Amino acid sequence: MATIVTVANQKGGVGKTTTAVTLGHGLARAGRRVLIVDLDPQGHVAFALGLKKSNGLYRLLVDQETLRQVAVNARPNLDIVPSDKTGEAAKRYVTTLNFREKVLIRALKGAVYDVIILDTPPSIDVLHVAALVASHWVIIPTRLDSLAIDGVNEILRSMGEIEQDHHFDGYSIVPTFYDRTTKETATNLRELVGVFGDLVWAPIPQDTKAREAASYGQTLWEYTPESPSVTGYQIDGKRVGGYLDLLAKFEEVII
Amino acid sequence: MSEQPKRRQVIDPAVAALMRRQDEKEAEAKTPKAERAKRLKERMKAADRLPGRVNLDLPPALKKQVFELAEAERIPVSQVVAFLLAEGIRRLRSGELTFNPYRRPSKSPRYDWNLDIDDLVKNTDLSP
Repeated sequence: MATIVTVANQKGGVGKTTTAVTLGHGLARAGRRVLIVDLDPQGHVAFALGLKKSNGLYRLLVDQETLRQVAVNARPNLDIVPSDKTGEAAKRYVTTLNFREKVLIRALKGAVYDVIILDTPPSIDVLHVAALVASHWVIIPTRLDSLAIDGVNEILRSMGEIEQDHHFDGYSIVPTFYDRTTKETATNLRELVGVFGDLVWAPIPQDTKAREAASYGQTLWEYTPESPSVTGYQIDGKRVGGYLDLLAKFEEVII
Repeated sequence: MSEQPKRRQVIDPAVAALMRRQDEKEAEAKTPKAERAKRLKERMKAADRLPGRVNLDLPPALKKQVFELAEAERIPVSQVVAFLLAEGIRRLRSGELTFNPYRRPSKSPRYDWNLDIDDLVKNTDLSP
């Protein structure tokens, strides 16, 4: 059975899609069969992987085509269900359904993947709830500023409401755009750790190269595998943080 | 007697290391300017003195052999390692030496291969 992981934070621009794509491609390169489902009508998963946005999500949820029909191969071992503006219509359609919160469980049933990553839009809507209900684990990327951290609170509140009928194996908070030169970042990290303890995983460093990768339709593993967002910081002779660390932690804890 | 319960690590070790480093920086920022300049100068001097210093992981058995060899030959261990590395690279470039028998596919997205050094150490007689 596939491990389903939702990447969520209702705040936009915190690195959800970059995290979903980088994790997904990293796992695929390590030999796992991975599917990323883009639940965001912006369609940025396809864009980040150098593919055209398309209506895969709409066809899956509204036309009820099978995963096999709508999945697009992006890289070896990595398929995606792309999205585009028709994702909005899909969302409106799902709102009219009975048991709409289980729509993704039904759509993903029997999927032949090791890991399915659900990349959510920056809002709390019906697909967002459906993603949480379908998932075993939730990864919450957050910038270390108070607005984004408030987004963490919101998503945890939603998870708390859902948890009455659904059991999560766990969740992790991943600080993104970590800038160790600013006091604000350090203060917010300390506050986050003070509240959530070891649920806060090592941060992803701020990195201009990481922002460029999507413009070239390449993942970080392809475009800039040696940059800080991938390799993290050097502290006491060890590398700390970055997507490489996140991937190792993901393999250790979640799969 | 029952075993003492171990205190649970409540912060991810990587996050703890980052926060510790941040604390050190903040403490340093509070020291007088002259003191900071002096420490910076000392750090730069130390870095200049040791531009070739590296931290690498070796299998313990191999590390032991290197130290024993250096001791037996009465040569500093850094020079023994430098000699073996330089000679290894020369032989690798000339084609006398190849990684191939020890290459294993890597699961890391950063590397394509790992070298099975344990296998090399196990199957190579390093005894004097």
